[in-house]
Amino acid sequence: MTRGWWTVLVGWGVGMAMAGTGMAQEVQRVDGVRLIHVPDPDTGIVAAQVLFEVGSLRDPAGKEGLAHLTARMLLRGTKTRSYQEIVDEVADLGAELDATAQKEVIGLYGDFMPRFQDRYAAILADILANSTFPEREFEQERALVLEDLLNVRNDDADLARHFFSRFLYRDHPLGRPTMGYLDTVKALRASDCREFYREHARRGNLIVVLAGAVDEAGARRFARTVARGVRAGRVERAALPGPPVVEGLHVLIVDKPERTQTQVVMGHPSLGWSDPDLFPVLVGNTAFGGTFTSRLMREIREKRGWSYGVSSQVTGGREFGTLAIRFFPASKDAVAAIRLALDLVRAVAREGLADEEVAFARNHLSNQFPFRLETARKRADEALANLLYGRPADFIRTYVSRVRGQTREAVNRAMSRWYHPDGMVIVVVGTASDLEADLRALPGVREVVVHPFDRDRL
Amino acid sequence: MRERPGRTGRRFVVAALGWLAAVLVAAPAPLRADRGQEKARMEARAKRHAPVAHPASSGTRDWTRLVERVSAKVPEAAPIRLLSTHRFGAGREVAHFEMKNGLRVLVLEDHQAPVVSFQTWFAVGSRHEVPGRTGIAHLFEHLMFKGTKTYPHEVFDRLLEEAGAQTNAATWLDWTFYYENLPADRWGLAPRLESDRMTGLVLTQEQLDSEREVVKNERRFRVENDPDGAMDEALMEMVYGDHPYGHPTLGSMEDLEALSLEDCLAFYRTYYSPSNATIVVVGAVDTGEVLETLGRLYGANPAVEVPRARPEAPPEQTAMRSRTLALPVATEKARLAWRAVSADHPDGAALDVVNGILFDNESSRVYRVLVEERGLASDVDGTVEAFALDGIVAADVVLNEGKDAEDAVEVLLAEVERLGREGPTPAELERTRNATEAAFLRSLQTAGSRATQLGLYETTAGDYRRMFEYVDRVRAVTAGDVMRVVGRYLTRNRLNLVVAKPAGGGGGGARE
Repeated sequence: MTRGWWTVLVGWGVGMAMAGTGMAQEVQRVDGVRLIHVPDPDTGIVAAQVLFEVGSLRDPAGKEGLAHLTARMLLRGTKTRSYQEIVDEVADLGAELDATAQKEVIGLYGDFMPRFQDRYAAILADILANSTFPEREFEQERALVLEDLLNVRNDDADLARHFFSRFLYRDHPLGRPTMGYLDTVKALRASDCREFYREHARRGNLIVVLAGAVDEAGARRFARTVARGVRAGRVERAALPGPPVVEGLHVLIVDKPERTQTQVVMGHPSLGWSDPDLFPVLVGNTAFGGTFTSRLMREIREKRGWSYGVSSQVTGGREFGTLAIRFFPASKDAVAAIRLALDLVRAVAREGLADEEVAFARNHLSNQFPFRLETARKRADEALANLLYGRPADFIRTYVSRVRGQTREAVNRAMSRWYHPDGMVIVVVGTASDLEADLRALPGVREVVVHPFDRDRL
Repeated sequence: MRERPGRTGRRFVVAALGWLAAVLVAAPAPLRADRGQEKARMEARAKRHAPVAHPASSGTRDWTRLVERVSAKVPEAAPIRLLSTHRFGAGREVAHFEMKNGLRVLVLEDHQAPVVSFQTWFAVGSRHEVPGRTGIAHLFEHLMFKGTKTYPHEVFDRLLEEAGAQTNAATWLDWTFYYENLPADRWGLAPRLESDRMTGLVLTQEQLDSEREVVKNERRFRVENDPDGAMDEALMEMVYGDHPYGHPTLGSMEDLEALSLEDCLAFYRTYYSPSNATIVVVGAVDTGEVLETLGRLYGANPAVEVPRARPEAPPEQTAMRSRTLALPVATEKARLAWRAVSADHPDGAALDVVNGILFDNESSRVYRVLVEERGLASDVDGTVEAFALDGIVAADVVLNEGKDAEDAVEVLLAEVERLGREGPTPAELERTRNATEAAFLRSLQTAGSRATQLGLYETTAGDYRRMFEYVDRVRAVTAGDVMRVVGRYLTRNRLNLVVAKPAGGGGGGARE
């Protein structure tokens, strides 16, 4: 039981990708591979990531979920190791090794104790060079993905996040779920994964990240080892169309029976990392919904007790990002809380923030800065975010001064530009019969869609 | 702090969350880090009042002189005693002190990063609640943020957030703790605010009513609308029955509704005092300055006699218990628990090894059989939760669509019994030892996580030094130990089972 975990995690959330913020590290080149190395001998452990800069945005239409399943299949066997041998060998070391897939990355990550570095690197090298995507293992892994897709339905917060992206972005590539749909995953074949990997897993796309108890020579040796069997070449990033324009309020009710509580996510497309409004919005969003004492929290939780957690988060991408405001009121309070949140967005967009609020956010962000660099792992993630999201190399070096340099006028101009109370998507997981009529009555609503929680396709 | 790992599958939670976050989220601490325990406080306290066992024996500092110097400077806290020290990595030491009023202080100077974690652990949790007043420990944790005469409502949080602090709190069966992680140059703000609210809290009916709604929403979030939370609550009730561990830390809606302002104030007066608290400070600080600051801020607060009655252990379970819940789950789920041992029990390490061999990762026996060989489940996970009194060994199984939980449980139990009969292989023992060591290291990566581990062990296991013994204790576990504890604790007649079936397709009743 905690007092509330939501807002302390976010502020400027940046979809996890931006959540870390560390020192800009110089990226080394080792045999054509990019290496990020942040040493810290004191940790006793080494965090490792081997990532190909290619993700689910590369999934062909009708094969949604391909990049994700390909990443998972990397643990399912090589020319020299079976799936069981891989997981046993990793377990023998007390290490961890998992697969990951995102819109623009697939790969493996984990950690190990320094005395096992060479054995861990050998496993990774074998996987990257010799994965075979065997048929029997494919059937098993695909079955597990299908079960995971079903189990998303168990968690209302996950459901809300899932449908928010899909309803906001719809036919845009960002609206296609990384894990895919039940029908597209069912239709995938082992040969699809084999081909996807063969085509996209190139040395020029590979990033190796090592943070912790490994020295310079050891890090370079590790990178050389894991990359030695990876094919040369590079696949360029997929071009992303511009974000959709949202006009009016668009409501999706994900209908789940007998809910006493709702999960609400509301928002619209927002700015990307390279936008000049980045820091004004960072400061403004922190004051608006990024801390325990922000406006949103004060109004929704502190004054009215309507929701345990409340947050406003800007998830930045390379070209553009997403504003997402989240809270989870009881069903009886849901529509009133949504109305209030809309009013608060309207107020901040039109009237802006007060001097005290801007000063508070500036101080909060700049004073909190040491935590963004507290560990080697965090510092490595900062350097990685620079690479993946095209962030300026001096992002971290100039972070505090740029935060401190924001004036109330600059912040309010940016808030007015990037907060659109009259153009929002609102996703509510709850029992439709308790909500639909009142949601239809919200001013500015253009559509209300009721979608059964257990139906995959919108 | 009660979030379980692996609720959506251990390996691929990243797909849903975003990979950087998953990378950043460290594994839970080696010894049930985010679950409560408490242990042998009475005995430990008695020992602490004895002469210091080894002052200044292990480290690089003259601790005795430091204590004398600070005691002279802050007579209101004197005598300050050095209770123990313990090495913490290269060139660092944890030092443990006690002030005249019984306040205990753990300090670990660590100048790796310019940050400090300041934590206050109170030895009070939901097990100290009485029937009809369930949920008060947790609700009161919320109320502690409501302000004092000096720092009115919202000023506490505002000052900390403006200083760049991360702040929160958590409540579990045996404890409640509050933390502030601050930039090192502002660490003094934390004790200034914490010492003030330890004795100067001001509550109003309006604040109670508003926060009661927040907590009811938390309950809706964590239990009523979360199948895992609902199963957890049912399981704890089944394992512990009328014992104080058996009722939910979140309280019942009915009890939350009934709690009065006077109940809350009485709870505060009873349990929130220096003599029931341990302060942990980790980070870029000077130990002498910490002691002096705390002595000035807390030293004048009087010790309060805190009720320390230890509940009787629940009666031995003699027959398996099971319950089926109809819940909005996509596939069936099973949650099993065997009542096990307290945090300081010598069998704890062997039970951790058992958990590692049976449930802990994709290489474990039960995962392999249920997920890979039999295709019955999509995920298996296990944990050992050591509380101050008897804890539990628990396992979770997420069934595949159309598969029956009872079938999977039978297979699982057969694997448990095979381990008890045949014992582990040498490779399994070595694997678990390495996993333990790695998990221990993962749990100590930040100032905050180091402080949490120290506070958790001190408050619940009775001595922070037990955390440093943990890896060695696991390394000492033999195949015979594994077989013995399986036979002693993980038997069918000690099993508690909660099965969730998709609503509409299962019953809601209980059977035993």
